[in-house]
Amino acid sequence: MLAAVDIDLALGGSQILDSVTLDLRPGEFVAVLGPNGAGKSTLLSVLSGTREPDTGNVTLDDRPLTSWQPQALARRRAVLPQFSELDFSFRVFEVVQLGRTPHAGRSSRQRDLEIAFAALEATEAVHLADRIYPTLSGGEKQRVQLARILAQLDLPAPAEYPPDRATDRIRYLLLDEPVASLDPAHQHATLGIARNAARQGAGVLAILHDFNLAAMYADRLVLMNRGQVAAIGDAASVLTPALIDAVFNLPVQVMAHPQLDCPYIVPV
Amino acid sequence: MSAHVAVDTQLSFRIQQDRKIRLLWALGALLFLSFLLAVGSGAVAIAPAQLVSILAAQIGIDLPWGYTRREEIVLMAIRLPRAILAIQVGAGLAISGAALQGLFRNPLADPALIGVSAGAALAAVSMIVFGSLIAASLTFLSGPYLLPLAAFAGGLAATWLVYRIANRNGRTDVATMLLAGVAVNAVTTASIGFLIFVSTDQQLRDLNFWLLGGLGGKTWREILPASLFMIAAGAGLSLFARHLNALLLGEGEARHLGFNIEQTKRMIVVLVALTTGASVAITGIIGFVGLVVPHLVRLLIGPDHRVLMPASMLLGAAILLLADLGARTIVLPAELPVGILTSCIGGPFFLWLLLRRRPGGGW
Repeated sequence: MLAAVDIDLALGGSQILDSVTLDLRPGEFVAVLGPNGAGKSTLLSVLSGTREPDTGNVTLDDRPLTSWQPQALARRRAVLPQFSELDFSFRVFEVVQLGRTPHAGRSSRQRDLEIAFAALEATEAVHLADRIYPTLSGGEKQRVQLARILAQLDLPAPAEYPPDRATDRIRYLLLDEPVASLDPAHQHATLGIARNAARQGAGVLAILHDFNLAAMYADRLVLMNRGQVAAIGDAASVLTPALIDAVFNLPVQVMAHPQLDCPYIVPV
Repeated sequence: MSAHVAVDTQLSFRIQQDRKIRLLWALGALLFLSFLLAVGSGAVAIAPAQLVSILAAQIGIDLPWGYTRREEIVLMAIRLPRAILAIQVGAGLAISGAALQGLFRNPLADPALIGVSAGAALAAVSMIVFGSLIAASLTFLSGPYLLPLAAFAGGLAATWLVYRIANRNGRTDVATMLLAGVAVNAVTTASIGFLIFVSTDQQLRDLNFWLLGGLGGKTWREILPASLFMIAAGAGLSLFARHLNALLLGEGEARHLGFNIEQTKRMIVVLVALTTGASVAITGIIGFVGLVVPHLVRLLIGPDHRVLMPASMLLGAAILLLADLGARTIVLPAELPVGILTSCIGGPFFLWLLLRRRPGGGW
């Protein structure tokens, strides 16, 4: 389990995270929602170990993140950045292979190649394999980055289902606005991959802005406001008109999704 | 469809790998030919057979190709040390440039940028202008070592300053470091200008030669100590190829991939300062090799540092050998400072690279 307990963090004099407690359990997909500046990305960077909180602890399998050897941590959790500044002319395939670097010495070249290829296939980006990365569109880049972190975690293939639930093999995916630059079809494809990863035992946390995508895909929703957790729970309990109006200052009406068993939110 | 694409992709990946290996062999061959050409050409021409013969004789092997005593002296005392120096400095500057461009994720980075060249130059110029004063108080140092030692120390001091400025809370901000480098460069350039202003005519000639860079007239005694630094630091830099590849994604991403980024930054800066400091100390400032060579290699095989760094070393060495050959033969019997030649060719060439680059195509 990836757990953050009582996290406080101030940056430049303002309190960005204010006693945030959150855990990410194996097999679940957690969506983090909240207005701009609510502290979502900062929370993600604390969970990934990039930032150390002023007070509070983050632990993976009950061990503080700081005591993890960086490469061992990298084999267990991967982070999808909001955007990647890669500006050098790597080919797409090389970018995905970079995901394999924490496995140096533990994996063969052939195996790395197969895993990287499978990851590209999963994100529907195989046809981009030979392209020069900086020439891709924003959405294509995002899919390649997703493939890179899938290759990093080396999730068990669907064929190996039911998953190996030994705790020390559970992987964690932290996704910072994974669908921001994607077309609607690829938004669903990407969240489908994330949910599949969760179904196979991984713990997945994604920052999302779309209430309906969160309602459709996430098992638990975390609503953040001004550095605090305003609400946490399933879609029906978090996505209420009162909470959304209070946090986003946006009047909405909540309906039932015409086909799926989840709420459907419409601004009014 | 996917099985097909899979085979194609893996095949094309293999082709890419083969290309990288072929490029390394080709650059190795280029360096070998440049070496033969450089040590063979000049007022006394030495044919390859004689070359091999002379070199073999040094380690006690007698080969049937005869050579004259004059050829042996020219090769062993003049051409060979000069060629070895060119190879070291060219390789050192090129791998330093490749490492810094990766570290800063900035294609404009160049060993001079972290202040090492400017610091070395200021120390060397001060030594030339105030040399008699300083040397009198440091009589325990023998003449030929004084200038390179001062330059080396100056280079390290300037880099240390730039690094300290960019370091906050145990983290190095590379953008700040870049800007601090620009500022330190500006101050040292102004100081050098002032020293030039107050120098005598003879000092000015020495100064100029040093500032423009030259490989001539160095003895084994001067070259060997610097070699140690350059070889150790160059080898050290190549250990960071995978770190640099990950860094191109961004610092956060590299950290998430399990690399210790702060240590990597520190080590790369120190190793670049050692390599560049040692080479600038002996040869003066030789521009554009560190900037252009990595670009040229990236154009051929992309930015993978595992190939980029060794390939840059080979190409940098070959280019500096050939540039030095040009510098000492173009205006016979005089000798052109090689730094003039590398900048003269490097500048326009770099412009050409910029012009043919597709917008948004990456570096």
